This record gives sequence, structure tokens and C-alpha cells, in this order.
Amino acid sequence: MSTPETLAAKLAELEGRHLWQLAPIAPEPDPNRAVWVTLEVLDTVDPVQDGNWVDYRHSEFRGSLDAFTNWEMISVSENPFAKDRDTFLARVHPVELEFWDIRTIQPPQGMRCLGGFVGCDAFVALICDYRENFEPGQFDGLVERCRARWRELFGELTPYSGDSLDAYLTNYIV
Amino acid sequence: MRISRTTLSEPKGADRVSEGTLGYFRSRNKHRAYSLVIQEFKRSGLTQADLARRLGKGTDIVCRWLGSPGNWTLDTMSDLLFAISGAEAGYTTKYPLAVSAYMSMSTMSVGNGAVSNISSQTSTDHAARRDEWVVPTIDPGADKDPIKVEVEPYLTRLAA
Repeated sequence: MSTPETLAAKLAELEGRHLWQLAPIAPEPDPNRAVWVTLEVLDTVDPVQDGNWVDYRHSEFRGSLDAFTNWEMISVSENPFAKDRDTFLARVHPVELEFWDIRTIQPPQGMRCLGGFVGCDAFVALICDYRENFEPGQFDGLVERCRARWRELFGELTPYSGDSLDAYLTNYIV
Repeated sequence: MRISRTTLSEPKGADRVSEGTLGYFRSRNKHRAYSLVIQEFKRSGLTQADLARRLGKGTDIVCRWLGSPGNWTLDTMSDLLFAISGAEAGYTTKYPLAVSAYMSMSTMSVGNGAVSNISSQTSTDHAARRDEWVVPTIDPGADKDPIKVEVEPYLTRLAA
């Protein structure tokens, strides 16, 4: 299991070249969580564009990431097979991989953003996709993409792992 | 370093507000309303079943409402708040883009250590500040080079 210290050291290497810490568009004075994004995610949510329906979806997705950073209350599901369909953050199967999904529900069909934690309230968003691009049973492909991206960036290090949800997050509801 | 290449502008004159800006603030508004309701719910010690009974709704519906603000209306928020604790939402207006622009300008010009200055200055009167700031306009899709906004001590915190 990788420690927050080793993950932080690796993150420092990657930051500015492969990962960027996303600043909320309208930040609260004391944002208490952090999101690092790959270029894939960064180009999806930033800059917020004024154009078509896809741009509108991306702006709502950006709103989700900024809600995370701005320490808004979030709903969490730990069981990938028994989650509320509207939950904000859900563990991804298989749970041993320690990947999580930030779920933007609106507008339908929403978007999914997979990544892993590097510490408490510190998330690395690796990949994102439109919900309609994978039917039930096709989610594994997305998880595999996430795993490959993590390996590319972090090598043998594994995502942060904790004993309970409190180790991953503050200000949440199950 | 934290980055954002998006600079949204406050409405001006009769210019149409972009859909992207509206979408972002709809999302932000939903999450803020959700935070308010869920904090109240957690404080109350109620169960979802109790709350469902108070509202005369099925547990599945209340469970869904508490899972996400996605399909809430103002009535949903009102019903939830009141049924949880007899509360209602208190409304005030904020000008987050003005604060955002100020924060960006401050941190870009002052650099490391500017974050603590921001907290103390964002509470000053909006109208008074508005004259002092140049609020950047949105330029979607123009320059995609990241703008470094501020120094973030998170890595230090993470490693501590």
C-alpha cells in the first residue's frame, strides 16, 4: 500500500507536466479538498465553453469538480453494486483497485470521472466519459482505462487506501 | 500550483449570458443547496425512514432526494428543510465571480502567501470592491495555455 508521503512525492513530480491541480472557477475562501486532473479531464472541463449541448454538459461536470474542491457536502457509496443512482462519489468495482467515480448526473445522461485518492480529501481525476458510452457490463473498459492511466503516471504505487470513509473524505453522507 | 483557464464574467448590459456560465452556476447552486439540507439532516439525527414518514413519501423517494440534488425543485428543498427541523433557507446574494476575479488578480500579482490575504479581503463590501477591480471577460477556447492562479500548499499538507 502506498503512503500519502510517497504519493505526494510522486504527485510533485507529475504536477505541471501530467497533472494539474484544478482551481475552482468561483472559489470559496477556504477550499478544503483538492483535485488534480490529467490533460484529458482538464480539456473537458476547462475552459468552460459557450456553445453546444456538449459544452453545457461539460460545464455541469466542472461544477461537480468545483463542488468537491469547495468542500460541499457530497454523497458517497462504497458498494459498487448497491449505490443510489444519484450518488456523487462511488467506489468502482473491483474495490481492491481503489478507484472511485465522481458522477455528474445532470443533465442526463450525465458524465463519469474515474480516479483515485492520494490522501484525505485529495483526488486525482484520471479519465472521464459520457454515461451513454457504456451500457451495464461495459464499465469494465472504463475501469481498465483508468488503471492503465494510473500506471502510466504512478507506476507501481497504488492509490491511497483507508480503513473507513473518514480516511478518504470529510463532509460527506453515505 | 492550481490552475484554471476559465474566467467567467459577470453579466453586462444586454449581453446574453452564456449557457456554459449558466450551467456552471446551476450546478454550483444545486450543490450548495444540497450541502445546506444534508448538514441539517445530519444534525437532526433523523433516519431516512423518519423523514419519509414526516413527508408522507416513500423511503425510496426520500433516499433519492438525499442522494443528490439532481432533480430537486425549490419546493423539494423547502419540504426537506422544514420536515427535517422546521428550518427554512435564509437567502443572501453573493458575487462569486467578483471575488474570483479579485482572488486571481491578487494571487497572480502577490504570489506565494497571498491566500491568507484573500480570506480577510473577500468579506469587504461587494459594491465598494467592484469599482476597484477589472473583471476579466470570458474568452472561450482562445488561449489554452494554463494560467497559474495561486500557490497551493496542499502537497505540503499531504506529505506532513
